Amino acid sequence: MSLPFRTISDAAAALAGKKISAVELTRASLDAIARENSRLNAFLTVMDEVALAEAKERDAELARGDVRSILHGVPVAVKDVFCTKGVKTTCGSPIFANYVPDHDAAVVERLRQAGAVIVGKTHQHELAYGVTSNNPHYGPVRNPVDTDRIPGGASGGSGAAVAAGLVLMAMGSDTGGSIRIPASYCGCTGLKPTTGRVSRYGVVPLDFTLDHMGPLAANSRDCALTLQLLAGFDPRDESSSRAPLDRYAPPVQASLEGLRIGIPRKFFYERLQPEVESSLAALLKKAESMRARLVEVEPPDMAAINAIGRVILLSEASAGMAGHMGDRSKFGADVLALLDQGRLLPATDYVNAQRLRRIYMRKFDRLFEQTDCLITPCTPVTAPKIGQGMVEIGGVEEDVRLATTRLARPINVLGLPALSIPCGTDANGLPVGAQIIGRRFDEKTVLALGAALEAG
Amino acid sequence: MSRDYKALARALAPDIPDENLPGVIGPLEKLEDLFRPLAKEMEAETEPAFVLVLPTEWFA
Repeated sequence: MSLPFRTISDAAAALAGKKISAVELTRASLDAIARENSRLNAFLTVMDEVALAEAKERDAELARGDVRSILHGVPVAVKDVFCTKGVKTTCGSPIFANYVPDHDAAVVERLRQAGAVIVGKTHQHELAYGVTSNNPHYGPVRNPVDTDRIPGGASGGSGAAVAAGLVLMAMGSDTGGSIRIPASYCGCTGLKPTTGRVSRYGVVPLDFTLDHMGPLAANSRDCALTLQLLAGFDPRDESSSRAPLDRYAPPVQASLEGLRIGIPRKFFYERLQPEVESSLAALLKKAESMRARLVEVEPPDMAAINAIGRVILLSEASAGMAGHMGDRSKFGADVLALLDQGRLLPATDYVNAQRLRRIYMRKFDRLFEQTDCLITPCTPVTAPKIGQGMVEIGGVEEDVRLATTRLARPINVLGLPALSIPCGTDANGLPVGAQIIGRRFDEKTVLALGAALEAG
Repeated sequence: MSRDYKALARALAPDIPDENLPGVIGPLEKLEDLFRPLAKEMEAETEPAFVLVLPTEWFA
């Protein structure tokens, strides 16, 4: 059995109305994790005692009428790349098996200041370097919809924990789709904010210029409520932005009248599983029925942007892990192959990739002269089976990892905000995700459109 | 002209064992085929997406 509430808003209302206490809600979350974790393997560390102690403090504050935020007393989780003071932070790797940070990540600090109760650290792909969450050291994370299938990754435990109703929000990190892909495969909502919007301080990095931090939750509204508490300048993160913040919570009945939604058919709507294609078609029809204007747009060479992103990721990830390459036994085969690829790339390729990135950012920005946001599929297929290496799409075989990241990775290169929302299921009941991409720092429009489509 | 990744792999310290090379070189060569032609699009003065900005407080 999962939590008695599906959304943060519902839980917050029940807490405010004293229909449930923070301790009771936290205990319900911990009980659900205890029941489900042997099936899903979504958590690496469960923080029972700390969480219950914090929940008790939150209840005392509630009794005094002190409410810190909408997350006050709400059970949440963070991926195991976020440093947690006094609690081990493994990154899903034996290299960090005994790493106990002496500080909290900025995101963890802000969640705690907001009164959220962190119940545990979610499982993930090794070092966040992959999209299957089939971790050779700590076992595979399983998709709650079908436990023979991957939840996506790298934030697979966060996606599984939210979709199974074990917590109301779980933080993920996203370097090439690692928040949006688990959201798509597990059937929840995931937001990758604009580069610089949410602090990376205290997160063990995979990649210095592609990593983004964001929430996975039941819906766009909950992602918006969480973003409101996490967004903002942090001098400890060199990439942190001083761009003004918005009020992200979407209106209850948002109108889409006049909203120009770009549909980039080329690349984004090619080579899709038929049910992904039909689910997206139905979603676009719904948007049109809500009086949005659909605008066909032609994106720049997205395969080029993916190649640029892969060169950057291979180079930066290998640079970060260079000090650990002496003991190859500490890496799984897939991660080791990627790290070796990065070691062989010349520095000139890396610099040229960062130069090309600037060119393609400008090219892609031109799409927003005609549109306010874009809708694309998030993943071209639904969740593959655990251990599956290839997927067949339209009679063509494609590597699971490349297929899974094909539509999500370019958005990390471009630094734009992107949201994955559920928009249907395939014949096996597996979720299909749609991706909403916005202008730089325009999370507000992205979240409002997501909320309207989820409600409509 | 493609690189001799096998020779480069052996020259690294620590090196990449021969038995690991098939899973390393094949994907890299495919990526190179996509990536290398793109570099020809660039003007000489194109800067990287991220440039060095020295914080003023370093010199205060």
